[in-house]
Amino acid sequence: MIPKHKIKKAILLIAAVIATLFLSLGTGHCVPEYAYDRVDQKAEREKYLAKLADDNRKVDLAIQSTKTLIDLSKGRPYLAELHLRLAELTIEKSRIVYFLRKKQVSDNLDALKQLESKQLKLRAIEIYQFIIDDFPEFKYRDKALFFMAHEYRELGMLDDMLKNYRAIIKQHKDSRYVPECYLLVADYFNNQGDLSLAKRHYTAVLNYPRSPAVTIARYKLAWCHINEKGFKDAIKLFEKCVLSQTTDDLDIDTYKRVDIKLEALIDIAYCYPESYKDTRPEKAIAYFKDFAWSRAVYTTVLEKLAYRYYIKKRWRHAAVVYRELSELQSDARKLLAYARNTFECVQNLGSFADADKDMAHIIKALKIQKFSVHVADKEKKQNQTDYELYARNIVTRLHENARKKQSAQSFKRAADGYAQYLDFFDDSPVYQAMSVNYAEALFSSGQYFKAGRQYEELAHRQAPNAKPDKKLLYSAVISYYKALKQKSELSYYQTAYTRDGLRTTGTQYVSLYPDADQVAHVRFNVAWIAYDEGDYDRAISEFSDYVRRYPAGEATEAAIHLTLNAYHRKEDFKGLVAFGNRILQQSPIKKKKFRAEVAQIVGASESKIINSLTVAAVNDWDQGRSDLKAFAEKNQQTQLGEQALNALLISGKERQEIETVYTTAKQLIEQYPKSDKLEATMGIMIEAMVQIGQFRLLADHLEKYVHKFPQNKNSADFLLQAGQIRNMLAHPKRANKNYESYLNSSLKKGRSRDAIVFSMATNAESMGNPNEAIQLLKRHRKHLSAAGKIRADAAVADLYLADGDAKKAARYRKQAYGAYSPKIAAQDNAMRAAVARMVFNALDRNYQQYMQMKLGKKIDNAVVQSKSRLLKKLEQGYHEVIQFQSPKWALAACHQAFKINFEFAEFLKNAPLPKLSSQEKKQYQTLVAKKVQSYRDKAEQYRSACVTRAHKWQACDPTLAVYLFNDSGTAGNLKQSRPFSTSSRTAAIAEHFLKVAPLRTLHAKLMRTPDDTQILLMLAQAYMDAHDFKHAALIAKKIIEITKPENKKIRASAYNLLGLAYLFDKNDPAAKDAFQMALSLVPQHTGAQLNLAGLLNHYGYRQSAKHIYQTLSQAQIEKETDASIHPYARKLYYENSQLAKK
Amino acid sequence: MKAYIIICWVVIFIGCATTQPVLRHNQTDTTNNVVHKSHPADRADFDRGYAAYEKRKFARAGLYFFRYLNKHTPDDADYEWAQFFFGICLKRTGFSHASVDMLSDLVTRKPNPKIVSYSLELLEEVTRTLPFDRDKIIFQVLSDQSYGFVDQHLSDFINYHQGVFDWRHGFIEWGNIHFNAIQTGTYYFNRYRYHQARYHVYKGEIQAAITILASLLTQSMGESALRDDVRQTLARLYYETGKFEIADQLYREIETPIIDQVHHLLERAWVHYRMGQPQTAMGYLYAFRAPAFQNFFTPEYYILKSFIYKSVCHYEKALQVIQEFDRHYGTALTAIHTRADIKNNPTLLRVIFNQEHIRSVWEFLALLEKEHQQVASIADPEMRAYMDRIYTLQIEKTKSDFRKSVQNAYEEMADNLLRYEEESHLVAYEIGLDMVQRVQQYHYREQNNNAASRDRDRVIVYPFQGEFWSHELDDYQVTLVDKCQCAEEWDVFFK
Repeated sequence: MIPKHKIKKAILLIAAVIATLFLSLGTGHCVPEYAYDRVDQKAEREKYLAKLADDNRKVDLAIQSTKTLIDLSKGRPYLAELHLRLAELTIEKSRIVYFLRKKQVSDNLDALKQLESKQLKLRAIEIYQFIIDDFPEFKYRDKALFFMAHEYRELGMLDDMLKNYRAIIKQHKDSRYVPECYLLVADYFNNQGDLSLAKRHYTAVLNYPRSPAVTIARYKLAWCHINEKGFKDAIKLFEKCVLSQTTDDLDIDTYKRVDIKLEALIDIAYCYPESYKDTRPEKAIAYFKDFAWSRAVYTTVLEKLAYRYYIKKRWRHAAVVYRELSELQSDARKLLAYARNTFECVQNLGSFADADKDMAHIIKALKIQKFSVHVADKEKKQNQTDYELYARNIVTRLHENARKKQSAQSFKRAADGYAQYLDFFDDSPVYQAMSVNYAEALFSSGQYFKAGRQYEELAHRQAPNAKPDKKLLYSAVISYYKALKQKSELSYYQTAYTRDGLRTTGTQYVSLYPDADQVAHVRFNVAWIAYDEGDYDRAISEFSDYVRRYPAGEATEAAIHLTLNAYHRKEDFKGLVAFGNRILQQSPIKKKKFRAEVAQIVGASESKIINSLTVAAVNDWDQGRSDLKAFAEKNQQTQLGEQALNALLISGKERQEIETVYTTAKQLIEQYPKSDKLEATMGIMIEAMVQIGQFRLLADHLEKYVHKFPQNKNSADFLLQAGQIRNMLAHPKRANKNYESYLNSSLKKGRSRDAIVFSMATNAESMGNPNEAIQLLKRHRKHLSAAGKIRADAAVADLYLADGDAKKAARYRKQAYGAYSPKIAAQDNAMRAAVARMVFNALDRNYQQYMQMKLGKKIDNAVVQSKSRLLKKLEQGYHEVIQFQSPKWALAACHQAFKINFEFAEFLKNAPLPKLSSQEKKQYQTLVAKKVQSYRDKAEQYRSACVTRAHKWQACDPTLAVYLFNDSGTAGNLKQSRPFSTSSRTAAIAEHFLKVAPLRTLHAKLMRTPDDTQILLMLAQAYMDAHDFKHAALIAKKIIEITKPENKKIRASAYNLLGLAYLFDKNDPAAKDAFQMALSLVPQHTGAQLNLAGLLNHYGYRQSAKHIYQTLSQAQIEKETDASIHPYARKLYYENSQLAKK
Repeated sequence: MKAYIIICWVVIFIGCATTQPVLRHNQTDTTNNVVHKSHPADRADFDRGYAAYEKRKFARAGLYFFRYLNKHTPDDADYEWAQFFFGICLKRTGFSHASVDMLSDLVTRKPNPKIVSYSLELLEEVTRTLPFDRDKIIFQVLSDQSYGFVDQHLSDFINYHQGVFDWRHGFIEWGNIHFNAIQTGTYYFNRYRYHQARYHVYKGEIQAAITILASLLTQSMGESALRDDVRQTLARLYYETGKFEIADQLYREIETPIIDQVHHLLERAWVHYRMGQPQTAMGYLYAFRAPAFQNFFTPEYYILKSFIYKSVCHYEKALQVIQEFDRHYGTALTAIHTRADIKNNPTLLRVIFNQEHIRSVWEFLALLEKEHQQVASIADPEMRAYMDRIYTLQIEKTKSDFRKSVQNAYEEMADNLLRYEEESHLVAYEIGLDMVQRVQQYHYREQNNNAASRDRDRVIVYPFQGEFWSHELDDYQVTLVDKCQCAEEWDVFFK
């Protein structure tokens, strides 16, 4: 275990080590990475002198050893080379000595101090000359000559130099020094001003294309051309220089440190403005860009070019190049210099087309300076002052030019310039004025958004509580307004900003300067902005206010239109209509066209109100219907009310809701009789009534329709249908009126008139107007068919007879007879019946005469004979009637024949006895009794025939019962049989159908499924329950009509219902026919069986009834619904079955 | 953080007034023409300074160098060295901007090559590690000057920035010369390649860009931030070319901590949405709602979310998202419509402050403010005044730039927001349209499908439990029952 104190010591030791480490770090044991490289100039100089002295010693040693070697090498082939080496070492020593002397005397070297150096050079020349003289075969003679010439040049011995170079050119044509010799000779002549010789020698260099001197020669030659103003030739040569591959092989020191490519390019810049005077500056820039090999070179050469243009006063060119330079540089001082020159160019040009760019460059430079700590405040201030003036001058000039030109583009440039100016020179003494100018330039250049922003800012740039400037505020309003007029040019943000800007500035203007001339315009614009941004409530409020304030204002029409539009956009058509109507009533604007427009908009909107209500009703019918009703109620007798009802009607129709359709259509027809929708409404009503099977109302509305639209193509049909319904509903007068109108209508179709005319006649007759019937028949006779004419004549004859005009009756009877033929009669029961009736009634006078012909107290042969003749005549007449095969009249004739024979039997029986003996009397009485019996038998035969025929026909006509049930056999006082139904309560349910729940429900269903026969059956039954039997019959007929023949069960049920309806309506014959029809379709139809059996039973055809009863079971009857069986028929069945049980 | 930003913002906008201190350094008074001549005695400050520098007493060294500089002119032999060491001392004592300012000024005056190299080395380090004044270093120092005598690393640094400058000004070939001079495989070479790829994207040469970026990823870059930038750009390009799987894979490979790559979440959500994986996309959007990401919220979030809901026929929810958009941006939109001051629109400000370019300026401003506060601790009044001047000027400039940037960003953001508002209305309309169409399709669809199996198919994933840890994010999905196959209550309206 380690003792505690040892641990403590160890920790302390470690801590001490760490502390030492830290201390060593802090006390410079860890030297920073960047060390000072101290430069001691004196030491450096001494160091350099020491080095030169050392070099001098070394070169002396080399010279000495070379000399020793030369001495030892006499006659050796390399001796010349050793001399050449000696010359070079001498030259080296000359150089060292020169620098040594120079450094020793602090760089100021006089001629005396140079003496040693020169002497050494001359010594070198001697050595070269010795080589040339003593070693004619030396292969480096050219080199010796070349170096010697160089030394001559250094010593200023130019003639000797020239001599040597020429010697090389002449004597050593293949020497590598030839091109350089040409170059140096050319330089000599160039320096002498002999351009011709200089050019010749420079040109000679070009013959040595591989020589490194070529590029220099070209360059120099180019300058010769320049001196002779041959700029184009110079440029070509410079271009070649730039494109040449430079090497460092040149033996001429002068040129070794020269970047000839760069120099050439720079010198092109010198020539370019001279050579290409008409070239655009942009092309020049592109030219130099092509030749430059880096951005640094490019900027250097452009600087030269710009300056060249500048001093040549090619202002535009200089400015363009300076601008390009400014784009590429970030040196503030350079930028300011460029800016200054550019400004001068621009001033001289008088054009400020690029003032915005110039401004940007000035500000770019000033900004760098402004935030730099390395530029003196005074310089900054001075520059800012100077350049503020430049900048101000530039931009105001530009603005001035723009005003002169009125060019949006120029104004835009001016605005851009102002923007930059204001952004930087925020402490400018003319800041406010420049700000206003900026706003104006923005406005004039069409930059309305920015203009508005600037004007608004300016308007508020006052003392804290001062009123915003009126003119500026108005300018802001106008700017914003115009900006919004070109909304496509605005971004989303700008649009939102502009809207609020216009609203804010406009509202302020109106509130601060309520009496200003432009207030109306401003109010309009403020309202318009609300409209533009879709705040229609606000737009409406503000435009309405505008219209109220300026009823005859310049923009009032527009305000009204926009208000209407705002309502329209909101889909507040109610509001629109109210506003439009108010305008139409109150507006002082009397322009017809305008008012017509407003009226048209109002009209169209009214429709839309209803549409919206209708749409709402589609979504929530109950609420929507109530709303529409309430709306119609509220707007009664107005177009809106009418449209609301119409919408309600259409919706009701769409939703197949009969109650709505009926009540609404009724309301529409009653409240808006002049509506242009009346015809359609009535059409809907008719259609609905057809659909639901409400024939009473159907007839009503058919008649109303025809009354309103007599010329409608449907009117004739409607009249006919109405007439027929009326006929069936036993409304003879109205039926006849409809028929009459139909017959008089020019629109009626070509169907036969017979049925109509005879219905009318029957109706007239039934109403107790035989004359009317006569007139009708006579009036329409010519349009009747052949059979119809006979029938009409017969009827007229009959009617005249009834009226006591026997003469006329005879005439028509004769006419009827004349036309009658069995062939025609065979097809026309009604005609036969009419003729039969005519004949039958024509006999009536004789019949009455016959029946009244009585004997007195004694036999009067004349009376007997007369009666006997009449009997014969009547009997013949009745026989004739029977021949017409009209059941009713046949029965009647048969019955009359019975009566006249029975009468004659009674006449004979009751005849006074003649004065005879008792025997004779007895014989006479026996004889008479026989005779009486024979007439009675004959009578009985007629009666029996009648009953037989009636049984055969099973005639169930109470009017015929008199012919059937007179069992007494006596003539006269015959009881009329009662019809099957005894109840006398009938009802005519028309519009009350809505109040009777079952009817309302069934009709509602039918509205949706008009051909649903089950519902129709139920409806017919419901009408019977309501005691409207005639209507029930009509519905039953409809069922029969619309049900396909193969659907026998339905048709049978319909017939049964029809029969029942007839029964209840006391039309037993028709009922019997209906029941029979039902059974012909479905023989097992329990209802029809029971009803028919009851009817037959009622009319005494008990066997037939019994026969039917026997086929029915109790279960069947109980199963059958009550509705299909007449109560009395059911009762009769039970009575019969109880009897049968007994 | 939010409150801090807003307070700073208000400070920035309310006032920038500062007093102008007396500044002697470098003021060449041409009127008085005071020329400081060197004298051996004057070197004392330099020597003391350098001695302190060697002992790493940078604050003291800085003061001596400052004094030396104040007494001398650039003509003095050691003036440049003094300036250089002063710059280093400033950096070492936490005044990075003042250091940059000093060294930048020095470099542009082309001192001896050693000083230039040293200074550029320091500037290069700053550009990689700290917020800095781009105008000064990139434009004034690097792009505006030629340096032909520096070592390879600095040469790469200079060539890269000069190449970028040339390219930006349309000097493609000259730029290429610079770029080609950069040593392969180095930091700046990779940056150049990345820049080259982006240039291809700019020219619409997407495939070329993809090739470069993909090859970059195969190389060792060392710098994970650049690698992530490459991944992100490549992912975006693959997204644009419809290669969503690869894009997703690249997003997954991004190494930046999840909290710092919030902008990727939205992009990844788009990727998955386009891949037909609305559930996963929705997962990313849910993660986006984490409180830490609130400041990155963009309107696009809502549009995408509504698209996703729409794609699985969650029409009501899709419409709710639109309403959510209205709720979230309602105040911001009102502020825009009523032209409220920017500072009164914190919703947008939060988003704007997280935009990269704004944030970089903001970070620089924060650095300036922090360093400016340190100025007060400088004991020497002259040096304090001088330093104060440096920072005051720079803060003024940066604030001005910042205000403009924020104003522009605000207008751009507001414009976007208004556009999104309109788009949200369109989306709502489209949702309505889709509802009608879907109901029609539904009712005409064959009815003989097995309802039970359909129901089973509709549940795409199992419910998410509510937590979202960053490492789970990639697998984070949200249950979205595909309702396109079933009728909803509102279908009644369309029957």
